[in-house]
Amino acid sequence: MQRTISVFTLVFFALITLAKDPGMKKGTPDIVSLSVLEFNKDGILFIGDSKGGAIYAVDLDDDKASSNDKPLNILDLEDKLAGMLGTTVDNIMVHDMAINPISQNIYLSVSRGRAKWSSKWETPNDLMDADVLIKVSPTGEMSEASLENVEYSSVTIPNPIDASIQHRWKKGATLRSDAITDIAFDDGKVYVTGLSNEEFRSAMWTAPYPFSKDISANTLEIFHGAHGKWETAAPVRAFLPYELNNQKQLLAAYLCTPLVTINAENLKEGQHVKGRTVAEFGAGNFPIDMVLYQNKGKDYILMSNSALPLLLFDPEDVANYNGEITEEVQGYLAGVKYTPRSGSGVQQLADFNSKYILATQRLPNGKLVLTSLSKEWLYP
Amino acid sequence: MKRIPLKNLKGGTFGLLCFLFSLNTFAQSFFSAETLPQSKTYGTVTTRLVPEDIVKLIEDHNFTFDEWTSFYQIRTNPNSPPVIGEYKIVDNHLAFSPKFLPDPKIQYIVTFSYPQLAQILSSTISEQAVYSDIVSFKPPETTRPEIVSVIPNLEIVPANLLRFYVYFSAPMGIENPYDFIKIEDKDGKTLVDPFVIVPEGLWNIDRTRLTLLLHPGRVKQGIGPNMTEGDILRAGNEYTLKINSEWKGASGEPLKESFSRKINASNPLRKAINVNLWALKAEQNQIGILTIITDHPLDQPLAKRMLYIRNREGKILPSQVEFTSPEEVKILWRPDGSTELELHIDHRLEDVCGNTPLYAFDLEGNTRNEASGEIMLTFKIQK
Repeated sequence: MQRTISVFTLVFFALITLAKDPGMKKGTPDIVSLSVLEFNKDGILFIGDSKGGAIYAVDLDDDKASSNDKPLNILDLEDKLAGMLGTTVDNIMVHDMAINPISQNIYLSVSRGRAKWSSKWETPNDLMDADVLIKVSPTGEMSEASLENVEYSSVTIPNPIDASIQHRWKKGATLRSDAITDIAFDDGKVYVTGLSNEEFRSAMWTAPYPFSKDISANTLEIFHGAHGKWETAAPVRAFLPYELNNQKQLLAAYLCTPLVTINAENLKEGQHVKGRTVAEFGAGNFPIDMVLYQNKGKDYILMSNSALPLLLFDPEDVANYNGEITEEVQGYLAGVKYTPRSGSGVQQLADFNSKYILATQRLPNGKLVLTSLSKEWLYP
Repeated sequence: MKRIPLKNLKGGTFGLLCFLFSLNTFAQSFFSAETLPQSKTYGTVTTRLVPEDIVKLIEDHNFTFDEWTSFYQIRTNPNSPPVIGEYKIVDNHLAFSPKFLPDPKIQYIVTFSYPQLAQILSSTISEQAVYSDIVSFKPPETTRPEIVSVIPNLEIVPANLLRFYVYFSAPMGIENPYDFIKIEDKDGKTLVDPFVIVPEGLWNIDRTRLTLLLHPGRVKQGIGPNMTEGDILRAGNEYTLKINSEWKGASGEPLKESFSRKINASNPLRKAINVNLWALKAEQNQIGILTIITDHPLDQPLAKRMLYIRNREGKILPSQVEFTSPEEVKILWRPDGSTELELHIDHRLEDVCGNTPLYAFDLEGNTRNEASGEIMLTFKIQK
């Protein structure tokens, strides 16, 4: 009887371990820069480390389910972060935000480096390596999320762009800060965008999760209507996987702001993949973040920008758009239409709960707030 | 040690702050802050007066960060979450090390509460006081840049001086250097536009040496700026070169102290360097030392690249150029057995007024000695 119980116990714990990630080990991941954050549906945090050239999957032991559907607003987010990091508010920089879909805890990658900002084209990762992970509870309590002695696994990105290559016009920035620009998790796969050392630098890597060595690499090429040319050097800035007409596509946004669909089926190891440009949303801007949400049971996508307003578009419009932008567009706008929504200064976006999207937003008074955007009011 | 009754802390955060400020001077002994820039932990706030038996109780509980901060907190303002970092017990004292280098500009509010400690220990503590204080971390001395030297290091300079070089102990920031440097006359009046303004300044690559170029158009006689604005320095007058200590280094810390040097302007030096007037004396033991007394005070950084020693077979010997003063140079070289060597002088050598071995700065392009081969002096070595 005792033996039966022991075997049962072993199988039970083995199943629990398998359900998470059998490749995980306990320790302190050697992360150089917390460049990009993303959760999967099981509450595993994926961290893109541009400088280290790796993706980490971290189990933060944060799996207490929350059914909260209240908004969260923190009016002085940077003041509080400054307090935690023992510095002044003008030195605080939030690099990325992700929300654990199980616990609804919000995670921010943060650094003390904002004082270095000197150009509207610079991203936080150009200026500093985010080196602290902050957890904000759904009710606003803030604490450090320690990455010491955690369960984690990792995979190395093959051939990330070399650390010595200077950005062509961003003074002092190297392209390595864009080795990883965004991560998305879908159907057991981790999609990663960024820059590689290939002749066509814009890259998409696809890794199975749990991680194995079978990570595939693709170079990307798109037609940028506002520039009137095919481009391969600029990385995807924000993207998300979405099924259009029964085909898995990656909806990707680039600098100056083309929207492109990339057929996931074409992402076979080593292939050079051309995206289909379906929209031009405006020049002089880089997209910061994209979030998929539902309003009255219908999907919409919200996109935050460095210089354009908050953009809302209907993925059904993308599915129904049969054309492809392959010629220079006049006036910087073309293809699928978007709806501008109030929300200038919105930066990071993440799906918070059934009713709200959470955003960081720079107010006219200079404060950075954590604010809740009601899904009910976000429709075209 | 001053005990602050807990009830006094009621009345909101504003009241707390006012209270902390009012009691600042009385409560200093309970906490101390120390900056350790070379340490991985950067600095510590230490609470030294908690009795040993209570320290032992705390040690036994192995508190988490949240538990520690329930009774012992460091904040930048009353509304912020506690500063993140590590709490531990060091030499029987309670020590907090912030995760990031403490900012010397910030006043940190430190609070230690016995009642809160009793609550988290679920035990009775006879002490009932709450101690609070405002501490700040002194900027670590090593991060404050200093002016190492300003050359030419002369109390008397020719009135047509062309450059100063300012050497710093650490890289300087990107502020406009000319906002912090001035030349005053003996009445304390600041000279107008004495320097050529180069955006961000003329720096070496690691920003530890600034070249201050006195306006050559005013130094050189008979040309536009000199005719309209006059000489910068006039012979027989006293001036003071001043550098303000508010100038910040790349670390963000200002200069350790201001710089001030009195300068007397003597007659202008408007002649080419005449190397034939130089006195050379060479000695040799393990290394060779050539001492040169020059006819003009030389531009030192330039001279270090323009003087070299060659043997009679034409081989350049490894050497090092050092200045005892702008008019006394020592060249150290590695002996190769030669008893006679050559001192080579690049014709681009300049004195502090821009005069070269080929022409005087004021006469450039007008009366010019044509170079007849290399400029070279031979010398014998005394053993």
